[in-house]
Amino acid sequence: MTMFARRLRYWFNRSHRFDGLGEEMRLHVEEKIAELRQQGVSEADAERRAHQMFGNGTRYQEEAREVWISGWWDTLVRECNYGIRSLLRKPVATAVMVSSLAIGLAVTMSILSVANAYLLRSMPYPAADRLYHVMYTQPGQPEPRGIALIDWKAMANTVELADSNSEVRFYARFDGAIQEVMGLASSTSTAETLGVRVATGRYFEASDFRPGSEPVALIGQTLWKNQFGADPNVVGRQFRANLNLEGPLDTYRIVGVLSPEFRGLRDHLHSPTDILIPRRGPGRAYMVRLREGVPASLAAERITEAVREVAPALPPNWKGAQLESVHERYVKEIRPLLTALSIASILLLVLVCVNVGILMLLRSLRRQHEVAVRLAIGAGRREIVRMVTAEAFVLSGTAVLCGFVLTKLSLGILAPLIETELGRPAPGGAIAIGLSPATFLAVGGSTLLLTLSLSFFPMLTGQRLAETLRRSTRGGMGTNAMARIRSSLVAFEVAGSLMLLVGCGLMIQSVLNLVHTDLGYETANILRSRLALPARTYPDTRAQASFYERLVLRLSSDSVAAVLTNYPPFYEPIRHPVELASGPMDGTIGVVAVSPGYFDMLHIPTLQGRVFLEDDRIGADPVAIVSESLAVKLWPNQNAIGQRLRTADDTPGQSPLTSWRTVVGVVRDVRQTHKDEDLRDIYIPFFQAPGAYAPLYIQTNQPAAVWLPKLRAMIAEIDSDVLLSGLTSLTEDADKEMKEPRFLATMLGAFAGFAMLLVVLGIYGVTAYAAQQREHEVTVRLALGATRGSIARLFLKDSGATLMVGIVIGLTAAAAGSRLIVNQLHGVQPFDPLTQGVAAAALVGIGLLATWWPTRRVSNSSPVAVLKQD
Amino acid sequence: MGRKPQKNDSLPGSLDMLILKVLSRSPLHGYGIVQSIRTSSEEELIVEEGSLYPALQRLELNGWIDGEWGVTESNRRARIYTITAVGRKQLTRERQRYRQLTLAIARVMEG
Repeated sequence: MTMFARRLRYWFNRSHRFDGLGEEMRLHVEEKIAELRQQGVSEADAERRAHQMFGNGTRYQEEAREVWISGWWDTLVRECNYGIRSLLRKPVATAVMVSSLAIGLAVTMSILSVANAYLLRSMPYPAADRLYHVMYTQPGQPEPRGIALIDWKAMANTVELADSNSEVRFYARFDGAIQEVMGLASSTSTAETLGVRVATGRYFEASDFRPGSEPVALIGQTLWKNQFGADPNVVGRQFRANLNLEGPLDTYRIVGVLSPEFRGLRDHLHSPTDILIPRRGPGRAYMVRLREGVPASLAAERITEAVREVAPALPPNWKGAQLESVHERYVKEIRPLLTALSIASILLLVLVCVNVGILMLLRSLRRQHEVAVRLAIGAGRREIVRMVTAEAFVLSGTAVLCGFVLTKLSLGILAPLIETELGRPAPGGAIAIGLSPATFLAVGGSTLLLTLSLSFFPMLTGQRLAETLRRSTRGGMGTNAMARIRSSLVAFEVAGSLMLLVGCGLMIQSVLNLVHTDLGYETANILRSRLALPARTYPDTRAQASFYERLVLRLSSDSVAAVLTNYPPFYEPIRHPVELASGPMDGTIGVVAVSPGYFDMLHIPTLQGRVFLEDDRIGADPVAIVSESLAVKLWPNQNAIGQRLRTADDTPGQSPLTSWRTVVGVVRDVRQTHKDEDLRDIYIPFFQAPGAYAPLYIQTNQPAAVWLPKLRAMIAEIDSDVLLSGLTSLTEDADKEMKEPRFLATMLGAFAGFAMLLVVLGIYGVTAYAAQQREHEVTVRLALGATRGSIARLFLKDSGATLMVGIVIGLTAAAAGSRLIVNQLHGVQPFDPLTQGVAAAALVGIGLLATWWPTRRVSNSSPVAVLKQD
Repeated sequence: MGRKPQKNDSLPGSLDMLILKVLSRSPLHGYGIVQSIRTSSEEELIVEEGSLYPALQRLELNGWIDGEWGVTESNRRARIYTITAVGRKQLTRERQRYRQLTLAIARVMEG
């Protein structure tokens, strides 16, 4: 057993041991008395002599106790008590330090908790770290054929499970209307790979996967509650649904309800899986679980070989199969955002610590008198260090505790908000966004260490604090070394703040650029949804057009303007090759089909010619409208009206070019998305090229929630088999594009604001101290005729130099740091001289103000009063 | 400032050594140790008896002796101290150091 363990054991029994020692000592004295009595000494005499020989029992008892709980603990407790008292003597300064540290800690711990929940926690599947998506080819390339035939059993030493689950969209009939529900077709291994759990009923049996057996399904909690009234006897009930709108609806028998913990695949994490069905027959395995210890690269090689074996022909430039972990695919889009925020928050916390370091240093300097007294009564350098350390310890310890409580509180409120902002739930659910002990220990511990070391950092430098303080000169600024440390800390603070400020400036510019992007159309008071027509009732474009016409007519009978398109704004339109009378054109052009009224509804002005009319339908002359940019590009110095062009209406490269169209109008350029740089567009009449799917726009000032049931009812009047998916407002959709940059701008803005506040505190504190020290000198100067301005300049010179050093370092660091947010920037480069200049100027302005303010007090004081003090 | 009380020992560490020596013969309780030292030294070495207790705690902290509650000859509850194996090694070391020291002092005094 080590000495420490013995001490610890004593500590836990300390009162018991202390009492025991008392008993031992009493026994000792009593035995002594008894012995003396035996020798014939009188009772009173024996007692006196026994006590005399024993000595001061209380002192020895104390001394014995100190053997165990030695001075260090007692001293620590005493120093901490003293530290608390002395900190409370300056309540404002202490409150500033504790609260800034606590806020800094809470911000950093919250952000790191979020980053941890997303980037480090694994997905809610069993053995999720061995679960990978398989990509058989590069994105956008055709997949090799024959993949379904891969012999996974031959790879059993690499791939533990191959899963051909896939996300499916169900069209299900509930309450008489067709609805779209998220489904998952599971393979025989899905139960294991995704950890499917069933709350009531049973999971699929082997026979359920056999083609031709009765269709069965497991339903999700949401569907169970909303459509089946949380019926406890739901097992055995049926519903009608289909995987597409082509065939008739199948009847599915419910065999169970999924457990609420089951999250489904990536997209299902947004809206949980509603329907789980067994996949009949083989499918392509897009998900694999590797054996333990098998690297993904090796598995990818094996799968590539397997594809080579089964594929009858491979594309010439085929690069082989690749694996991507399910976690990576889930978080890769938000990783840059979270990384940038984490780094920014750590920088902020370091700035807070530096600021506390500056304030603590000034505190020590201000207490020259007290320190001098302590030194005079025999305290050495060690004692002074211990005093400062105990204070810093009490201070940062309190702050860490406050920060902990703040984090707990803020995460409870923030976690759901953050999930919404990031647009996807944390892999482990909102509950996973919590302060983990590791995060707390790492952040709290390093803050404690940093504050402590910054507090006695000055004492470790060549010129020791004790000596400096011993000199206790009036009018001195401390030693040069001390002044250098102080300036370096302030410069560091300025540099860090500048980095945050530049980052914030860049993000604000990006958001402003997005907000001020002239889309070229109005989004106000427009709701949109998507219609899907079942192929069996609407086999051709004529039938489809007739349904759409009836719907528009029905809406207009309620005086609601409605239009249909094939591609809505905020999606890149499908691009097609275009052919002119003079020959085919280079590249592709976005083609948008719109119904009459589209340009009016979105307020897109017609510059030449006409808009589409009701007569522009199938059978009528094919016409087109072009955007201004396209007209100028194709027919410079010519009238676009009457020109002819043709384009494919459907999937590029697959459908033949359609008939020649005559240009009948030119409209103003629009941006289909905020980031759309190509303003050349072709519009064709929707009713000359309708499809089974079509976005529907209606103009109304009522909210979507009011319109959804109304619209469903209207559609059901015409055909209850037509699907209408959710209704959203166009303005909200436009807003979504700005969500991430705006979030980052807000966060960085808050950080930068906080950092600026710290700079003000730091510079103010340093100057106020310097001003106080030089009060004497200043009054003499004033008496000799110096102006207030010249006094202020005296201090501004000092602080200006520090500021400049900070700015130069900060600008360099900011130029490098901005790369972190490069993918969030819009219309501004990571190195933007204007932003850098403005941020630097703002910081210099604030820094000089923080310098000038405390000097006012000195220059206002009466020379007589100051000089009299000596 | 948490100064430790100054020890007033003419021969530093001698009390520790004496306690170890006495305990190496047989386990004893506090009063027994004092008695034993007094009798062995023929009443020459008389310490302030209370100073024994901090010394015992120090030895215990170092792991040289063990204290267990037991019963004395006079049938009273007392803490009985036993020397440990580490303690015996320490005693050997102390004895050697003591011999060198006394030898050196003797050389100076008689030289």
